[in-house]
Formats: sequence, C-alpha cells, structure tokens
Amino acid sequence: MTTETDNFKNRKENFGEARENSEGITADGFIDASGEYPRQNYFFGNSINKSAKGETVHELKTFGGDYDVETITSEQNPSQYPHNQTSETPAGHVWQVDDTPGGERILIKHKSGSGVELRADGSVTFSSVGKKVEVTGEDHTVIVEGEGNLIYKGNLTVKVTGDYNLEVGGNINVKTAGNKTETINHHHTKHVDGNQNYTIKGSRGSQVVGTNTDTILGKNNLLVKGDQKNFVEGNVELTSGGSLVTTAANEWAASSQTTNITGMKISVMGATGTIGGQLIDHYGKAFSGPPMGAGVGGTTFYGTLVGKAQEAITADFADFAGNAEYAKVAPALLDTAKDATKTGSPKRYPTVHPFTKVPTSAPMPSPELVIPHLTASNYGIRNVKVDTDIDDPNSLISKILKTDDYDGLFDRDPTIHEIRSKLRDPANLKNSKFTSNLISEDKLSSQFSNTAPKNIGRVEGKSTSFKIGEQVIGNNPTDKKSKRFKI
Amino acid sequence: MIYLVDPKYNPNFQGAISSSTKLAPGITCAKFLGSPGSRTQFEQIMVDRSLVARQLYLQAEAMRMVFENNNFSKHRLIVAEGVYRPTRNENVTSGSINDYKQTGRAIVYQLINSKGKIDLRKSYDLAVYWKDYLKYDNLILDYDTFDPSEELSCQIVVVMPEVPESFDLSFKKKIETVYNGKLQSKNELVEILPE
Repeated sequence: MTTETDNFKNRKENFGEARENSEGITADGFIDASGEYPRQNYFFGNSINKSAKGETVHELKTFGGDYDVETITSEQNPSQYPHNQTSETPAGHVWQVDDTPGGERILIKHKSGSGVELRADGSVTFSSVGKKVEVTGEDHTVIVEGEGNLIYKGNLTVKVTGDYNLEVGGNINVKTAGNKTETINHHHTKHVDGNQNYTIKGSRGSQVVGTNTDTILGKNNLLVKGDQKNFVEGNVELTSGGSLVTTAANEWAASSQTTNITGMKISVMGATGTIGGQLIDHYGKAFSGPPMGAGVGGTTFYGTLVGKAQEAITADFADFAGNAEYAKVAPALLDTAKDATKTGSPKRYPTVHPFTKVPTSAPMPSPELVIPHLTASNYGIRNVKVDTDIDDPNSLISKILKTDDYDGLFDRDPTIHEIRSKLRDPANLKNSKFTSNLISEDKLSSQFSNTAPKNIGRVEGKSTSFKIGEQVIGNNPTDKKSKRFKI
Repeated sequence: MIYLVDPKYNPNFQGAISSSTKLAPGITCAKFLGSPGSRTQFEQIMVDRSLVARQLYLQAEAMRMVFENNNFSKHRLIVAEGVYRPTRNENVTSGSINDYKQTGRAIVYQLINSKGKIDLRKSYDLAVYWKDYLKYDNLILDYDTFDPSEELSCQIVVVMPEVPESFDLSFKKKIETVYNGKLQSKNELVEILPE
C-alpha cells in the first residue's frame, strides 16, 4: 500500500536528503507541493491562466517574413473567459483550445516558441525555431490552391530517385547570380513552339563528337562583326538551289590542286591581271582587245598561232595571207606575199579596219565597265556593317553589356538592393553619369541626394542605454521556484 | 583580447570553406553570399576563403544574438548586402564599406516584420541593442530614400575588425548615423522617421 511515507522515501532517494529537507512537502493538501505555483506573474491575483482571460496571448515564434513575404496568416480576436481552455506547464509548454466566438483557436506551443497554431479562419501555422524533419513512409501529396513562397537562406539540395516531372501553366523564370551547370547522362530533347533567343555576353563553345545537323526551314542569317574562320579537315560541300554569291571587299582567293569552274555562261573580268598558264589550253569563239600595237596598252598575243587569222595588220611570219599590204621578210624566207617589191616601204595602217569583226557575247571588260560592276551591280562587293551606328562602332556591344548605361558599374538591370549596395562607395555616389541614368530609368529616386532628413525621433549616445526591466522580480529564474519552506 | 570561438563553428577547424560551412546554429556562409544587394559565390571572389569565414563568424554571432532575443521574435534579420564582388571595371574606394564588404568585414542588415516590410522602429531598437551588447568596430545606422517610391529605408551596417587566425581582436565600438549617404551624427544613433 502506498503511503505518504513511501512518497517521502522515494523523494529522498531521488533528490537527496538535503533537498528534501529544504523543500519538503506541504503540511496539507491545499498548498502546491512542488513549490512551482503561484508563478511570479500571478502573485496577488487568481490562478486562472492569464491567456484564458485574454490578458496575455501565447504565440509561436515565427520571426518575421522576407521581402514582401508575410508570415502572418490572419488577425486573431482576443480570448474571452471562460472559453479558452489553457494548460501551461512550469517549463512553459502551452496547450490551448480556445472557443471564444470569432476567435476560435488551437495552439500547441513548446517553451522555445516552436509549435502549431490553428486560427479562427482555419489557417495553420507551423513553426520550428530549430531543425525540422519530415519523414513520410509512403506517398505524400501537397495541394495548394493559392500562391506560395519558398525561401532558403542557405543551400538547397533536391534528390529524386525516380522521375522528376515539372508542369507549369505559366512562365518559368530562373535567375542565378552564379553558374548553372546541367549534367545529362543520356539524351537532351527540347521542343520550343515559339521563338528562342540567347544573349551571351561572353564566349560560346560546343563540342560534338557525332554529327551536327541544323535543319532550317526558313532563312538562316549569320552576322559576324569580327573574323570568321571555318576549318574542315574533310570535304566541304556548299550548294545552293538558287544563286550563290561570294564577295570580299579586299581579296577573294580560291586555290586547290585541281580547280573546276563550269557554267553555261561564264564571265571572268578584271581591269588588270593574268589568266592562263604554261600548259593551259584556251578554247573559245573570239579573243578581243583594243586595236593598238603591242606595248602601248593594246592586245598582245605571244607564242605561235596555229590556224587562220582573218586579219593581221603586221605579221613577222605568215604561211598564208589572203590580203597583206607588205611583208618585211616574206620574199627572202617564204616568198608568199603578193607584192614583195614593197619591202621596206613605210608602214601604212588603214584608217578603217577592213576586217570583219567576230561578234562577242559581251562588251570588253574595260575599267569603265569593271569598276561599276564591282561597286554598284548585283555582283559587286557588298558593304558589310553589323553595327550600323556611325558615331559608335561598338554600340551593339555596349547595348548588350550595358556598360554605357551604368558607367561600367552594372552589366545588367540592377535592383534597388544592388543600387543601394553600389552607392555605399562614395565615388559611385558622386558619379553623376551613373546616378542620372538610374534616375532616368526610374530605378533611383530623384531625392537620393537630399541629405536633410525631414523628421527625427529618438537619439542614443555611445553609453549603454537605460533599460526598463521586463521580468517580474520574485522567482528564482533558474528553477522558477519562489517558495522555500521546511516541515 | 582573444575572442572565444565556439570550436564547433570555428572556421580554423572546418577544413575546406564552402557556402555550406556552418558559422552558427542555422547560419552558413551561404547566408552572406546570396544576399539581394550583392550576390556572389566563393568561386568568384579572389580573397582568402578562411579569412572571409572568420569575418563571417563574427557576423553570425551578431545574427544569433538577434534570433535568441525575444524582443525580436516577430522580426527577421536579413542580410541585405553580404560579401561584395565589384564589377570588372569598378575601382572600389579603399576603406569604404564596399571595400570591407569584399572580405565580410562589413555586412549590411535589414529587419523585416511579419508583413514582409522593413520595420523602422524595431530597426532602431536593434541598432541600440547591438550598440550595447555587441562587439564591433563600427556600427552604422543607415537610412535612405533611394527607392523610386521615396519610401524611407533603414539598414544597419556592422563593421568588424579584421580577424586574424588567432582571433586576437580589439573592437573600436564607433557608432554613426547616415542619411542618403551623408553622415548625420558621429557617436550617436539618431532615429530618422518617415514624413
């Protein structure tokens, strides 16, 4: 049978004789045996929990929100006695079931401030001032009808053993101040129904071990401000179903061990230059040039002409000529000229060429023809300008890098937090180009340089501030016991 | 004086320093790297990471003081401007706050209430609290109307001394109040109120 003496013995064994003698047990059952109550803030009043009467409110420790993110769920009406059933332990844990009309609430709160709160409108707040662990043995479903905010002030790691499926009805916006790395061990497929645009402020590279195929059903434009080099170790085929035009402002060079140019109609023109080679055969209908003598800008033919010339003004050798005015050495060597007696007579050129001209398919490519052809025709040299701003040849780069916009202090559109951070440097604060651009873009207040505050409140000096006590003096805060008595 | 460091969070004993290095319960280096005012990563800063971690240890202690104080139990202390990385062509003025921010010597904080807004009154309370109980080199109560809405904003800048490996430190404990970048008062914290 358990008696009061047994209890005394147990306490003596558990807590020691000294403590038992100092605290002891009460002489009767109308006084708190543990010495915990009344608590310091219940002195000289009734022992009904103050929160039951609405005098104090037990709240979870939720800290504050984040930028434009609230942590307050709803406003709560104060409790009314006797609707609020409150249980508070000596350590400070609270269990509260509140039936106050319009302020119904359930609260389970740990002394640290962690806990669960269900408010009158049905909103639920979970708070953990320390770590939080959630373990689910089977499936887990989360349905949120409204909006959500997920803020991690540290690192976040998500590991999915199975598939990770993400379906978004609206847009996906990703911002990272650092790098983004994707490692895909198998295929990567992307379907874009609309347009795709990349802006890369640095360099871009891609390495493809297999075949690279780009199928473009529309137009393909490649605009390069600097140089472009294509190096292909194997063969290259550049084919066009329509026209192929290649022009270069300075030089166009094509070289190969074997070069083939084939066309039903070919034009090779130039003001000066060379066509042909030592073992080159020429085939054609007509060979035209200005009708003047050799060495004075006229057409000159070197070598042996085998065949029939329809007309020759002078010829050192001719096997046969139907009409020749004179031949200087013909009598001596071949004796085939019609009138050899005129040897040595003065040269006499006809004022009108009697020969019958073989019609050419195009006019002679004189400089007067070639230069306009190069500069103004469809086959002429293109004027290539990627950046068309005459005043600033690097305007496109500046526009993309935003170097001019913010005087080199930002390379992207800054937020007010980033602007505030930059303005902590006195040099930036005085940089009128920087600040005026920010004001013009409505990113900085025009009052930023106003250094006179309009209203001031409290002032504290360096010495330690005067504090008004917040704890009721009375209980020993270490063990929360105020009463000491002996039996 | 030798500053007593919790061995569990002492950066000198933590091996390789990364964004996940713990500086205090619930506080890692990441908190000071991804702030909205100056986002950066350890890979992008040229400063010795151990030095940065030691500096941030002191800042984490300051944050911890606030978390554990019930007067601020309904407010969140946010790192508004953490470790700073200047842009490519930027010349940071030597001895400026941004200069100190590069190593974590200076960190800028904001105090946000449960509605997600800066609480001006509590920010001042916090500055006074830190002035009395925190060890620091310089504590700056910083107000501005930089936002295009011209709404008054309040930040608290905490500048710590440079922390050697021995944690042998001396704290100057200077205070000042700044409004729109202009010094308003030295040796005083002046509360500036909206109109």
